[in-house]
Amino acid sequence: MTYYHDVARAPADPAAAVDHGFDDVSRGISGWLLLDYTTLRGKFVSPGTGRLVLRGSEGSEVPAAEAARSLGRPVLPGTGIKGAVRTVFEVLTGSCDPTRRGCNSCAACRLFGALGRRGRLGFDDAVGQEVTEGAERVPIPFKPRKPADGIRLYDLGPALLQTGARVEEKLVREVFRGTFRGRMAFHHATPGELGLVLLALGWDGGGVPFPLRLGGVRFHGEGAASVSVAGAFLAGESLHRERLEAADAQTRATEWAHEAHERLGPKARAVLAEVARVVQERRS
Amino acid sequence: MSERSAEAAPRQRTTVEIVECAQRLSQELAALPTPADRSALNAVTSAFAGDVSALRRTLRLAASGSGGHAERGGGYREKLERLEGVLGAFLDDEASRWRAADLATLFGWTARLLYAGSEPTSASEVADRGGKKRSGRPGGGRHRPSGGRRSLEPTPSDRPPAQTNMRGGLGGKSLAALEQLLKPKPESEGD
Repeated sequence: MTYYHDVARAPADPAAAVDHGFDDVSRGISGWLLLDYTTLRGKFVSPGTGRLVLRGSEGSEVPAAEAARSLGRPVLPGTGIKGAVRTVFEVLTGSCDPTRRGCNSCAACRLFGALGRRGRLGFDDAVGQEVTEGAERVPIPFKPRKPADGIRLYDLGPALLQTGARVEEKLVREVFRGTFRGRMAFHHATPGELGLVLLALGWDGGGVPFPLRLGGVRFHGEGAASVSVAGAFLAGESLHRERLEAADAQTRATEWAHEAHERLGPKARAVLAEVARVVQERRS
Repeated sequence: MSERSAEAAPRQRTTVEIVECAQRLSQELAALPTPADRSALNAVTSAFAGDVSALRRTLRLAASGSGGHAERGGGYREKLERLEGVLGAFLDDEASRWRAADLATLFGWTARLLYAGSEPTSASEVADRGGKKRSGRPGGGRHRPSGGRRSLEPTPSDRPPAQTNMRGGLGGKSLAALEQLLKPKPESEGD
């Protein structure tokens, strides 16, 4: 029994990747989506800062790995969200692996940016709305043996030793549970690109959603958050701005997801099916 | 306010004083065989908000294994113990004579000098690290133009840095230059 699932990347060669027609930005959409990131029931997120803080009352204090805050409020850093979404987006679109060699021209590099190329997509820090704070003991992290050419999807179960036993939970970390809200801004994005981003966020427009994995302790089944669209602000072709209600945004998002599905190649469809299968297995 | 309480308050430290103290601390922290690195120092001190006793407790608890942090890999226990020994002694002996803001500056300088001091200083050290320097620092990870024949002679970026008397820390010359820069300028008219 494993607690992770390795997914092979599509060909890293941009020329060999599926052409999604993303160069045509004439019909691009600009604006932002308001996204809610909600931790799954029984799960937490723990975006680390690398610092130690004291938890508990004096006399029974324990040093804990600090979780990220902004002006004292719990946050999910936008950089972490962007990285998590990009990784899934890369797999879905057959984009390059930027940690190896940035190509600057694949679908992910064109939308998310690359060295010397500003991206057209950005995530604000998601600020806690109704969040409970706490401290949990988790396994000591280890250097993951990442698959040579692919990504590792962790399921929602605990980390296991090779013997199948659970890894001992020793390390104290600050954790958050609840809902965070943050904006995702985009410029001249095509409906297909936005739909793929929504798929990468784990929102499948009525299909089988899978949780986005954020922050630390993902290898132990934590850091799982579901994403929903709470609102949108779009700049129209004639630059007339209209504010949309959440329901309307969902409808538009569904259209984007539909277009993204149509543009997906067979490899990406297989990946989505694989992800859905892993989620379903864990749930059942 | 009485004169006595005004005298008891710690005075503001000059930058030179802070850097000199940071240099001493960084040298003690970097001493072999179990040097503490910048990330371990920052983990403990970067959240410092003026509460010396809380910092002292954090050091003591983390080094004693509370919270499980000492069991992390990479010799983290030894690093925490070194931090507890060096910083703990400093806080016990001298913290009362420092303002909280100066202490925060001191920890920042100590981390910076600790980072600079971790630069390999000999060819054997470079070789021990696999011939690679860490990227993200001056000279490290410098891009080598592709194409053309590569000479067997080491390029400037491959050569080990010159020996310094304190492993990349500030020398007396640098401190003198810093003092010169920090000398108060004569007040201009109208001020």
